Amino acid sequence: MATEIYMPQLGLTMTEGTVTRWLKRPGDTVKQGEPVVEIETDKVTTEIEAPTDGVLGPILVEEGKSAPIGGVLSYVLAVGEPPPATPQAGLVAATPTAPPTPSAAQPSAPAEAQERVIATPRARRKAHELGIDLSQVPASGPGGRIVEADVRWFADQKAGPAEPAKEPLRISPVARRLAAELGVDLSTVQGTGEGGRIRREDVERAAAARQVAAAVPPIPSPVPPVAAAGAAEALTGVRRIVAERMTRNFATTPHFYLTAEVDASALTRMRDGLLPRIEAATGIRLTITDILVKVCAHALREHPEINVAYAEVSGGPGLVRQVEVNVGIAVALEDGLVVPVIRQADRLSLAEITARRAGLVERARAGKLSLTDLEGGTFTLTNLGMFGVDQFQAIINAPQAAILAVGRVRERPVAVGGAVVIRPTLYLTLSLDHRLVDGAQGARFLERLAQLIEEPYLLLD
Amino acid sequence: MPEMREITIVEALREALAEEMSRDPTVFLMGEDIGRANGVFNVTAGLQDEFGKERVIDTPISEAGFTGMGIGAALTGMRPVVEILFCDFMTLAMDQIVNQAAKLHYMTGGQAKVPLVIRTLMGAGRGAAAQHSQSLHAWVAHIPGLKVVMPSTPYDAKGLLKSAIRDDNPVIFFEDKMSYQVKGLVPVGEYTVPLGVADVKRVGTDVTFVATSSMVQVALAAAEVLAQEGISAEVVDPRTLKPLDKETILESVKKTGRAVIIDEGHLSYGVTAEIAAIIADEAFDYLDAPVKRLGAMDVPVPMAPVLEQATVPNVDQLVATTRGLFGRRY
Amino acid sequence: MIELGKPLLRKMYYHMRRIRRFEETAEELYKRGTVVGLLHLYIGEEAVATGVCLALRDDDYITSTHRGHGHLLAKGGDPRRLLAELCGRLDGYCHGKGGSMHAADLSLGILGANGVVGGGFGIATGAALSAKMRRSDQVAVCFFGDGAANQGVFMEVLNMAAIWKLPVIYVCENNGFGQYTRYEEATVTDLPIGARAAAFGLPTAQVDGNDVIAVYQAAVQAVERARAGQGPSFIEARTYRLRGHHMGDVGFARRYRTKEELEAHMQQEPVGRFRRWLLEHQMLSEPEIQEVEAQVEAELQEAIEFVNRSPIPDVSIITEHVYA
Repeated sequence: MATEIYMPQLGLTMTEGTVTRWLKRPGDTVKQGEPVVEIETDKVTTEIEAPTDGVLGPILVEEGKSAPIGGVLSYVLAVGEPPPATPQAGLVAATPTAPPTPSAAQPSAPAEAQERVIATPRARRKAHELGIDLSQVPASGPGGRIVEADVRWFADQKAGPAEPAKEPLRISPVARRLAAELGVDLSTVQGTGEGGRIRREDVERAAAARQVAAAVPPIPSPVPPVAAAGAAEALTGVRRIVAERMTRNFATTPHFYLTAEVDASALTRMRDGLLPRIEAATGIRLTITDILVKVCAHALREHPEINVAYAEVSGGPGLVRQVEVNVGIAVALEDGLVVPVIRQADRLSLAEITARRAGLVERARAGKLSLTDLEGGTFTLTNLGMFGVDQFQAIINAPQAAILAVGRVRERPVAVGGAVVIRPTLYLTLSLDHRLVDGAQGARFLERLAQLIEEPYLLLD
Repeated sequence: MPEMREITIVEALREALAEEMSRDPTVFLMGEDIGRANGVFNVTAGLQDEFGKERVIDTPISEAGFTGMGIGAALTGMRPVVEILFCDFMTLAMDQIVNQAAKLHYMTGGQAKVPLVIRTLMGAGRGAAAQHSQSLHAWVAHIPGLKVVMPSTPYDAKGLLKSAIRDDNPVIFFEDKMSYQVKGLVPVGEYTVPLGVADVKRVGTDVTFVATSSMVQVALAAAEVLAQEGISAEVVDPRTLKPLDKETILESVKKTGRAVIIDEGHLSYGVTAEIAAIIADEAFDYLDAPVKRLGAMDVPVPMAPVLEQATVPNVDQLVATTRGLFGRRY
Repeated sequence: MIELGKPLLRKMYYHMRRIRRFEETAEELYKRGTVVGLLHLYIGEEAVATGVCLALRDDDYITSTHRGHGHLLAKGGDPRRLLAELCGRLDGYCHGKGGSMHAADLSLGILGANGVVGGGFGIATGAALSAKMRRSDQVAVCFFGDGAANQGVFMEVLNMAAIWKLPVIYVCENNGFGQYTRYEEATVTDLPIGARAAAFGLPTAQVDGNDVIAVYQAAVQAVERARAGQGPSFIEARTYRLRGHHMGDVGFARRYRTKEELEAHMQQEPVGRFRRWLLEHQMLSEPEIQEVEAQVEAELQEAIEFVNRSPIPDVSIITEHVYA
C-alpha cells in the first residue's frame, strides 16, 4: 500500500515549502524514520522522514521546486508495487496483479491537472478586479476553496503596483478590444452602459478626449526613470520573504524612534569581570549582547506596556499582552536575517542567556534553526556594533511593539561636570509602534534601559 | 430623547393593545381565555376590566368559527385582534386564514378590506410536545395577501403590534412563547415600528446572521463568543417576514460576504430556504462562502426537555457553523 | 299576516324572473365560451334568494355560496357587472379577478360569493357581531346549502351567535343535492337540519323554498327578531336544483337523478309557479307581467352589450390588490 510523502504544515503562516535536496533516489530502500528529502520554508530548513519501511517512489517535486501544504512529493511503496495513478490520499492502484517495475523509468505520476479552480464568487470578483490568475492563488478556505482573503494575500505577496479598483470593471468585449487597440487606459473611462458598463462609444469618446488632452504637456512624473544598468533579477528564498515582510511591516506599522547615548563604562567593566567565570562555566565567551538581552528582559518585565503585540480585534486595532518575555536577537546570515528567540529571558541567568545565545547563533549559521527557536518573540534586540555602526534605526519585527538597535561601544567625548571627558558610550535607538506605545511610555522604557546599562547593579533588585 | 424604561415583551404587547384600543373604538379582541382569565400568558391581563366584555371577548374553543367572525367583523368596519393561542391551532382555521382573509381583497378586485390581526404563539422549549410547540410562520408567509410579523424585543413587539393593528391587511403576528419575559428598553409615549423594515441588531464585518424571533438572542450570543475569536458578526433581524426587507439583508451580506440564516421553523421548506435563495441569487458575486442555514430539526418536537432542546438551533451550533465558513486566512 | 302589496309582488316577480333569465343567459354564454371558469347555476332556487333579500335593507349584509348569482341579483346587484365578472372582464365587479364564485358588491352589503362550502358562516356571523358592536340595527344573512350544514364550523357559529345573541339569520337552501350526492344520502334525515340550530336555542322555520311568499314571510320574522336584538334565527327553505352542480356536470347528472325526477320538478319550478299564482289571484295582469319580463330582457341585453364593450384585463393588474 503506497504511503504518501507530503509537504507538511510546519508553521502557522506556512503555505508552501521548497524541496532543496532529495536524500534518496527512487527505488532506494528506506526505513521508517529515515530522512528522505530536505525542504525549506520561509523560516526553517528541515528533513522529512520516511513514514514507513519500503521503497521510495518516483519524485513528484524536483529539487528547487515548491509544493503547497499537503502536496505529495513522493511515496513509500512496497517492493514491486507501482505508484498510484493519481495522488489521492490513501488510494492505491486497484488491480493487485500490476506488473512489478520498481526501477523502471516511471513517468511521474500525473497529478491530474485541476482544470477547475474552486473559488468563491467574491474571490473571483476580486481576482478579476486585480487582474490575478486564480490558478496561481493558494487556497485557504474551507473545502479547499480560494476565498477573497487568499486573493488579497496573493496580491500583497506580488507587491505589485496594483491599486485595487473600487468596482470590478464591467466592459463589453468589443470595448475592451477597442481600448487595447487605441491604447486607452480603461480606468479612466466612464461607462454609460447598464450598471456603469463600459461600451464601445465610451472608449471612442475617451480616445477622442485624450487626443485633445495630448496637446497639453503631461505633468512630469515625480519619480525619474532609472537608467537600466543590468537585467533585473527576482529575489528568491529567504531574501524574498524578508523583502516582502519588511515592506509590509514598515508600511503598516507607524514607527517612531527614541535615541539615547549611554555611558558604557559600567557595562564594559561588567563584561570584563564576568567573562572568565562564564567561559569557565559554559565554554562560551560573554558578549555585550548577552548583557543587553538581560537588561532588556528585566526592563520589559517592569514595563509590560512595551511587552505587547499588535492584533486585529473585531476588525479594528487591538493588542495582546504577552505573558512571557522572549527576546529575539537579530542574527545576520549570508543570505539574510533571522531572529532566533531566547525564551523567558527574564528568568535566565546571564550564563544561561549566553549559552542560549551561542546555541541559537550556531544553529542559525548552520541553517538548522527549529520553529521553536524562531517563534514567540515579544521584543527584538539588534546589534550592529561589530560592523562599526555607531547608531541606526531598526524596523520593528511585527507584530511586536518595539525593537532596540544598538551600535558600537566607542570612546567618545562627553560633558561631565562642565568638562569634556572621554568615556566609552553606546547609542541606543528604540523603534516603537505608535499604535501601541506613546512617546512618554517609550521614553520611560528607554530611560530604564539606559539606567540599567549605566548602573547594572540595579539588575539585582 | 424620549424617556426609556425597561419592560418585558408581555408588558410591551399589553401596552400596544391598550393604546390601540383607547385610540380607536373599532379595535377589539377575541380569543380563548383572554378576558376573565387574563390570557394564558397574561398578555391581555386587565384589558377586559379596562375596556369591557364587549371589546375583550372570551370565545368558545372554535378557532375556525371565531377567526371567520374576525374576518366578517373586519369586512364591516371593525379592527379585530384575534388570538389563536398556539400557532399549532392555526391549522383549525386555515380555510379562514388562507382562503378567506388572505384573498378577499384580491378576489373582490379591491372592494373588500380585511384589517384583521391574528396573534399567535410559536416556539419550542416549554416541554409542551409536538402539537403545542411548532413554528408555522413559513406556512402563512407562503400565502399572498397575508403579512407576517415576528418581533424579538419589547421595543419591536410594541411598535410592530401597533402598526399591525393599523394596517388594513390581515397580519399574522407571531410571539415566541419562551421570550415573553425578555426585557428591553421601550420609550414612554407614542411610537410605532413600520412593517416591512428589518433591523440591524448588531453591526459586524465578517459574517451576517439573519435571525428571526427568539433566534435573534441566539445570534447575538453567538456573536459575542465569536468576537473573542476575532470574528465580527452582524445580526440582521427581519422583524417582518412578509413583506420581507430584502435590501437590508442583501446590503449586509454584500458587506460581509458570508451568511447564516437561523430560524425556529423546521429546516426543510421554510424561511431559511427562502432567505438563503434570495441571497444566493442577488448577492452571488459577493459571497465568500456558501450560505448556511440553521432551523429546527425535521422531527415532531419531542417532549422531554433534553430531547426538545436538541431539536432547536442553539448558540454552539451557530458558532460551529460560522467557524466552518472561515479558512486559515480571513 | 304580512301585507303584500302589488309593488312588492311585482318586485318579487321581477327579481325571480331576472335571476332566471340571467342564469339562462350565462348558461348560453358559457356554452359559447364567453363565460369562463366555473359556473354554478341557481336555476330552480330563485324564490329563496328573492324571498329573503326582499326582507332586507340595502345596508344589511349577506354572505353567499358558490351558487351565488341569485343572492347578488336579488340583493340589488348589477347584472352588467356580474356578467362581466363571469366573463373575466375588466369592468366586472372584481375586475375579472374573482369570477363567479367570488363576486361581491360591498356597497350593497354583499360580502361575496364563496368558493369554499361553508366559507360564509364565519364571515356572516362576524358581520352580525360588528353590527351589534357598532350599535347598528343591521342584520346579516348567511346563505348556505344542505351540504354546508355538515361543515363543523356551522356548529361553531351557531353556538357563538346564540351565546352572544347576534343579529344573524342562517338560511339553509336545501336543494336536494350536495355537489353530486343526494341530500338524504349525505345527511341524517331523522330530524330536519333545523334541529341543529334548535339545539342551540335558535328559533327555526322550515318553508317551501319554491314559494317566494312563504320564504319572504319567514325571512321578515327572522329579520325583525334580529333587528330587535333578540338574536339569531334559522330558516330551512326546501327547493330543488334544476341544473347540475356546475356547467360541465353532464355526465354526472344521470348518476344521481333520473330524467323523470328532473322533469317532475321542472313542472313545479318556482318562477312559472309564481307567475301562475299572480295571474290566478289577479295580483298582476298579463300585460303587467310581460312588462316586467320585457324590462328584464332589456336589462340582460344591456348586460351583454356591457360585456362586449368591456376589455379583457391587462396582465399589469395581476399584482394589484394583493395588499390594501
